Amino acid sequence: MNLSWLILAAPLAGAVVLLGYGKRFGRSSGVIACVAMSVAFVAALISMRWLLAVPNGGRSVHFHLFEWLAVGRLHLGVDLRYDPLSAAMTAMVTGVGLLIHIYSTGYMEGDPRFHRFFAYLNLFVFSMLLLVLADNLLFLYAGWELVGLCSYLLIGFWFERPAAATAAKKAFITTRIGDTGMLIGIFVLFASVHSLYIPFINRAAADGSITKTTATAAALLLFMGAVGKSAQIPLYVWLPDAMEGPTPVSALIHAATMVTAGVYLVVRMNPLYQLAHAAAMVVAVIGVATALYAAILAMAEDDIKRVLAYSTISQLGFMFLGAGVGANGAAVFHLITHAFFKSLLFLGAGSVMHGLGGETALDRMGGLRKAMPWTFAVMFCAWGAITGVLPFAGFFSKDAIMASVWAGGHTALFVVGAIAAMCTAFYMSRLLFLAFFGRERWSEGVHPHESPKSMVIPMAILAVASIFGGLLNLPEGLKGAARLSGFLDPIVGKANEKEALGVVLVMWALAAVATLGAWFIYATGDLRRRETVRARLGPVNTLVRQKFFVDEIYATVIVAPLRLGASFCAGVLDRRVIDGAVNGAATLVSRASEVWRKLQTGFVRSYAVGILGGAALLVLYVVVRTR
Amino acid sequence: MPVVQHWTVLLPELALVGGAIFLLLIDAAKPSQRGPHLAFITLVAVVTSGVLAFFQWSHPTTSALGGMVVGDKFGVFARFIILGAGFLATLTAPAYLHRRGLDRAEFYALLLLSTAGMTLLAVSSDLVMVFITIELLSLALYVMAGFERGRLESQEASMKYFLLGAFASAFLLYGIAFVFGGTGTTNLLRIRAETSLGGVADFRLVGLAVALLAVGLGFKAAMVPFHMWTPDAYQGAPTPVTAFMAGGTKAAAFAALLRVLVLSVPELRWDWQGPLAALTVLTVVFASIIAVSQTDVKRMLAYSSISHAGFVAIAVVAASRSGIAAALVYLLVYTAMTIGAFGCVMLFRDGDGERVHLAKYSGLGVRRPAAAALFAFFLFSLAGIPPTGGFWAKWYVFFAAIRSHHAWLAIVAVGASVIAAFFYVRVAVVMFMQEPPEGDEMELDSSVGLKIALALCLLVVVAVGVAPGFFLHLAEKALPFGG
Amino acid sequence: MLASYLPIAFLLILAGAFALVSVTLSRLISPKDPSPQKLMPYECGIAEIDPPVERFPVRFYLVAMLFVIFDVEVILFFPWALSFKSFPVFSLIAMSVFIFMLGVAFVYEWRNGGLEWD
Repeated sequence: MNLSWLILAAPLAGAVVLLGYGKRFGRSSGVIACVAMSVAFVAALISMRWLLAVPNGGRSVHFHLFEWLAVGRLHLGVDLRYDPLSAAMTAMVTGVGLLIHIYSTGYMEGDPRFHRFFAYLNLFVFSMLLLVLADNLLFLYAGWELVGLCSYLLIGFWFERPAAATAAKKAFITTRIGDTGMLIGIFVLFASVHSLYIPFINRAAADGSITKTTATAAALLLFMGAVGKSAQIPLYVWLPDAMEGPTPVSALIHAATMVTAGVYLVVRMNPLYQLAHAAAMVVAVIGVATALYAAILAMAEDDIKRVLAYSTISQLGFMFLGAGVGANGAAVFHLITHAFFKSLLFLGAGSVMHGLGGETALDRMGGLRKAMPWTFAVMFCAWGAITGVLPFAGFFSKDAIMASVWAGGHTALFVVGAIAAMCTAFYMSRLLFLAFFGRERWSEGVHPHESPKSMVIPMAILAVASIFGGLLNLPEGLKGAARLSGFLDPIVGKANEKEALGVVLVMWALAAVATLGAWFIYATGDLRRRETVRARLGPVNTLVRQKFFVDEIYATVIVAPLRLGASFCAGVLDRRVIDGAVNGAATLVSRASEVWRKLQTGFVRSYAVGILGGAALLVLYVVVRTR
Repeated sequence: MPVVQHWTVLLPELALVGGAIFLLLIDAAKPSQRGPHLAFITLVAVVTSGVLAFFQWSHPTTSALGGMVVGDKFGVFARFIILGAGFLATLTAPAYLHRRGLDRAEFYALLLLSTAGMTLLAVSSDLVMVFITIELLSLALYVMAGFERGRLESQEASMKYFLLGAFASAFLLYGIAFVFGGTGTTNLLRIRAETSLGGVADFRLVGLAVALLAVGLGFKAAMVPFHMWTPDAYQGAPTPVTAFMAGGTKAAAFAALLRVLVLSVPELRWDWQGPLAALTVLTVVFASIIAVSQTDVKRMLAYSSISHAGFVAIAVVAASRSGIAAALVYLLVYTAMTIGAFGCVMLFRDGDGERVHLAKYSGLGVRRPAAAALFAFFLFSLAGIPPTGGFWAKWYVFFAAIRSHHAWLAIVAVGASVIAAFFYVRVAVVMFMQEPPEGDEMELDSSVGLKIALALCLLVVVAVGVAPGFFLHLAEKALPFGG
Repeated sequence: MLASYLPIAFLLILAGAFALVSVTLSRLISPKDPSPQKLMPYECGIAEIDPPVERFPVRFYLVAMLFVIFDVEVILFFPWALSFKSFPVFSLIAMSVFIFMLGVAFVYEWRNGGLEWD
């Protein structure tokens, strides 16, 4: 049975109920939100089962809910597309979303705006599902903007804190820059093929009815949106700041789902990128550059959540690398395993913060593995997954991407990617060792304790998923069936993935070296060795710790001139010219209004004169005209 | 094409009249009885009528009373709007009337009779029928407007409406006489035949007639300069009656105007499009500008309803298939949002009276955020701010105007709607951005009927906002005649 | 053809002109010497005893309306009776409905005390 409408309807219903009556439900609004998510998740599983029963090749269903708008040549319906790609995405979004909802009932306990939080969460999940289920670019864009709105609301959820409010604004505005490009890209596509339907556009790209130039322009413009939403160079700056939001939000939106929307977009429009080689190369290069750059930044970050934020940026870079070289199946595979382990990392970080009374500085942790054994266990699993230790999920997905890059002959990309992977292993091990090993460095009066069950259980489930997630897509070389790839290939196209044992070995060796290095520097009792390393690195250390001064550069090069221009526009253009015109018009209208209302005397006789006069004019017109 | 004659076309109206007779009889059995059962009987009659009308949707076009009444999809669509207005007004009325000691059977009987007049007007295909039904709906409305006898404004509303209504009826009748003189018939289809190629019409007389008919129908639809009764009548009449007049009468009047102008004299459209466009511009601009200086919310909404008449008239000027469909969608949304707005005015009580002065709305959004947000939503929809239903209604109307080469009309109307947005949004600003006065608790009316009515209005406005294509599609299906 | 309407137009102009001339002339040539007594209604030196406008009681209208209703009914009966043989069944039903409607209105007025003259 295909229930994709229900997948969409359940979180929407939850959001509407909670926005309208959340206050009345109070504590139980968390339960309502979780129920809505469970319904969506079960519906996603049932639909997935149904889709699997359909023979491969026909697995793409179109739902026409209703005609939304028909103007001229533009016919837009509210349409859903349920195919392997959206099936995988919906299952992931609802599954991870459900776990994070459950976790949040524990994490947000006691917050005065508890019900509001769950209303936003449900609304977010609805928007994300709309994004992945939409069959035309307009509704995809609607979902795209809605997730942005929810992200804004949730980053600024604790808007009493100025940092949170600023971060929310920064996230919204930065992603808007990309969205503008994306919107223009949508216009370009519409102007070229006169349709906004994604399958139609993809068909047009495949059979060559779009010129290569148009395709390149559109692909690059769409990628601008992806760069903003998925926090790639140069628009990544909002994501680390977005960590001001509650941790479950960081896990759901800024790790598992929303930020992957850009990857989804590129994968969804893959025929376009196949046509536009240059654009695809741009995607791959920006992806790998971001992967390395963010990994470097993560190595020098001391705030546990911000380390994870940079890690997310870096991992998204790997996905774009995969999508850019045409390994779309691998990119989606990594997207899904990443959703598991990264949300697990965030939830683990949240659990640590919960136990330490909101502490986020790695410097004031250490030795937590005894106080928080469960949290440590799950964090260990996540660490294994992200560094790419063999049985864990991340190994298979990252390896699949790197193998494709190698097989595609992109040696330079492969080298940079491998270095980025090595940095990944280093900063992740560093995080784990600083938090859970070594001497206890937490502040006076803090008593670390394990988190409640409602938080531990979702983490445990995610940990299991992080361990066994690789089973989704065991490569054929390991007697696996490459199930996910086989499932997705009809939609995303087959990549040239060759098994390369050498690649695996190189990746392993690099990760092992990095991990050992991290152990040597950070795992021992005090942090004296770290100081030595820092001193030896000298200015490099400073540069990285200041994040290459990118925020400052943006502030001087982009924001300051804009602000100058804006204040000119506001002070001179707007106040004098435009306001003057508007106010003048307004004055004119209200004067006219005051004068004309005197016509309404209140006497029936003058009203009758009005009717008579109007009639006389009409009759006069007829008489004059018919002469 | 010979049209099948069958009296069942009249079933919806018979249900309404039957309900009215039943109400009068039970009042005769036990004089001066009051209570919610009266409203309930009215609702049953309206719903029955709606169900009976619904069955005609899938039927082929039939006619009754020797071609005086036609049963087509256009009529069903218009009837649904009118019956909706009657239904909503009936829901809102009991609490309002009860508080003033006016909840008597006559009111509901008159409401049903007036509704029957409106629905019959929407299905009239003969000018004599148009005249009789206009009188039927008006006579009932005159009494209803003055139903609050103890209040001078209500008496004044009734008196002015009556006097000017009689005056306008004279023009209408005069026009009908000219039509008969010019074509030898009053049947709309035969008028069309006579004014087409090979007909024998005297075009001078028909032209004169169309002008006079436009005066009579323009009066009912409240178009400038035949609108001057509207603010006084809307302000003075009991608010449920105002809501009913604003919604139902306008829908019926425009249904008749569409039938008369676009169905029966399309051959003369080069003659009537110009003057009607002039009236339209006058209506939207004049009403929007005068509304700016109103301080009484009911009166402001009255001017708003005048300006909306102008917007519907744009679609009539377009005189095309898309224009008629746009007019139907517009009337549907307009009825829901304007009754919703008047319903909100009823919701905001001020002691035992109504909260009508704009200054009394300050801080309402602070004290009663949900209700104030609802009111603001209806106002935004009236202003045509996306993504409300009001936006799409305007969109379709403008689109129809542009397609029929009246782009200038659309531009003027957009300018007027910018002015109009000012006074709609001002109410929201007063409600949400000013502090509430001390000691005013701003109690809301707790009547269930009113709440249901508001929910229904909200539903329609949101539904059109979410799925405008669906409703336009429905309206396009309802086009009975090749325009 | 339009020429045949000329006398009407002439009459219209004449009537309008006459009204205008008389009103203007009376304004112009009448002596103006107002005093409080003269400005009072019934300027004949005696203050009025009753209010100048006597209202009819509403009851009068009710009875008058009843009369008109049945008057109209009787008028309708004549042509109906003359053409009864042409459509016997239909016209019987139609007239029954008509009488029923009138009956409802009559009963309603009666029960609401419209016939009691006190």
